[in-house]
Amino acid sequence: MIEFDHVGKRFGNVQALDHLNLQFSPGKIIGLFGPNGAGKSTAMKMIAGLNQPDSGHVLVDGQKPRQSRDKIAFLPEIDYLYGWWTLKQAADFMRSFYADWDDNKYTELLGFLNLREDMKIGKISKGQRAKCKLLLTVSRRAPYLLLDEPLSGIDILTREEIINTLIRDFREGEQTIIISTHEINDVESLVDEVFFIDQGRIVVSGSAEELRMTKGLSLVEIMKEAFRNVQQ
Amino acid sequence: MSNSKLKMFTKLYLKDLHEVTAEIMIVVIGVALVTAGFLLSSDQKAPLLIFPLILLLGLAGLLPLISSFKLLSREWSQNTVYLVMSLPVSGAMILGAKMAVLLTQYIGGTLLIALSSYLLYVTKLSQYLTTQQQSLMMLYNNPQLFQSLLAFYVSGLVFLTFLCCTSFFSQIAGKLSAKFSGLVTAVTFIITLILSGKILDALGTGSDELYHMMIQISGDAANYISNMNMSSLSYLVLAIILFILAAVIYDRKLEL
Repeated sequence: MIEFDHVGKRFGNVQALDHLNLQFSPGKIIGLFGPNGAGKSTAMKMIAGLNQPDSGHVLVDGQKPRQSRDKIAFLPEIDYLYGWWTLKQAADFMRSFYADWDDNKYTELLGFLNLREDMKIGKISKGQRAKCKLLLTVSRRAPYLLLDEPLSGIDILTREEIINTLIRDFREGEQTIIISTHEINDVESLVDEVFFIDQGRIVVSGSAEELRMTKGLSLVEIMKEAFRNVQQ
Repeated sequence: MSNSKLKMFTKLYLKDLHEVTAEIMIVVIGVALVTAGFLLSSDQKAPLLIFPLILLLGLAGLLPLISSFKLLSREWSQNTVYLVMSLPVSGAMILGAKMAVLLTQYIGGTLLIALSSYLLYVTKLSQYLTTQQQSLMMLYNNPQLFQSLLAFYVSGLVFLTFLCCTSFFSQIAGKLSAKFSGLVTAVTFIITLILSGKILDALGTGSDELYHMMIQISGDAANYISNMNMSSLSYLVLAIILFILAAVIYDRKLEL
């Protein structure tokens, strides 16, 4: 389980996370939604051990995130792979570091995503790079999969491929997937639980299905309503 | 099944080695051109090519220090630091792989130049340098002179290690500052060098090294080697301290 206990984080004058308390239930697909600058990426990087709280603490299965890096597969929003790598070289590199790397899954997904191993990361389109990043992340059998804005700047067809890959591959109860995005439409059907975050605080949270039922609104409409209330 | 640390280190090493290909190729091409130059030139002109070889030797010594800045700063400028910092390995392994690449670059470059110099000597210079040849033969006859040269080479290697560790330490310290990273790096680098010099002076093993070398290279070689080794040892200890500090900051304080 991933827990945030009164986590605060400030960058200069900006309060990125403001005494954030939350728990991500294991074995589910969780949406971390909010507008740009809400604190989603800061929270994701904190789980991945790339950021540290100024106050409070984050625990991954009771351990500090930096001690749990082998349990977490993190897909950041930015391009983080070496441009001179081919996809094969990138996969070889990842295979050497993660005992949970699954070659069968990698080969299967390679075909499913229409990628080739000889593709050079620095020479392919943004959509193909996004698919390469996804392939390298989900080819691990990591207990926690963190996807930070996985659909940002990606065309509609590639978005569908990415979402289909996640649906196809998700093992309910075994893996926790946390998707941070402000493009809720695309992942609305995917998530079990949602956390709407703004200015570093949770404004609405709960089961996606229950929220839709009780409010009679889609998740996009719930977010709009929640943030309208916050701004007032 | 967990993956072996050696395999992880090798992957990091090969990745970083690729990043300094350009610097390695500068020395390799330079040495190839000079070697081809003296093999193809007339016997009278060939000795002049010893000067470019000396310049190349300086370059082979300097380039690893430049690479030390490039290796680390590129991780940030190309965002690959997100990948590197997510890996389940310690900062010591990340920085250790980079250090191994820099030492490979230095040793490979200087040995290549030594080989080229030997070729120049054997093919073109030996006929001119009858007396010098005799003194050079002392290398084989006088083990202490050979040891002196070896101590000189090792001390160069240790000094480079110290400079690269200072570079790593100052860059990592610089990354703790979000706005003035470059300035903090430069100031930390200079202050660390000054402080290290003062520490070594206080220990009596620092800045007099060159003076001792000039006095003693022609005299008591055993004393010279002893001084050189003491000096190298002091630099090595400082390098290890700076490396550990850089690795600890990397592991505990560095954020993206």
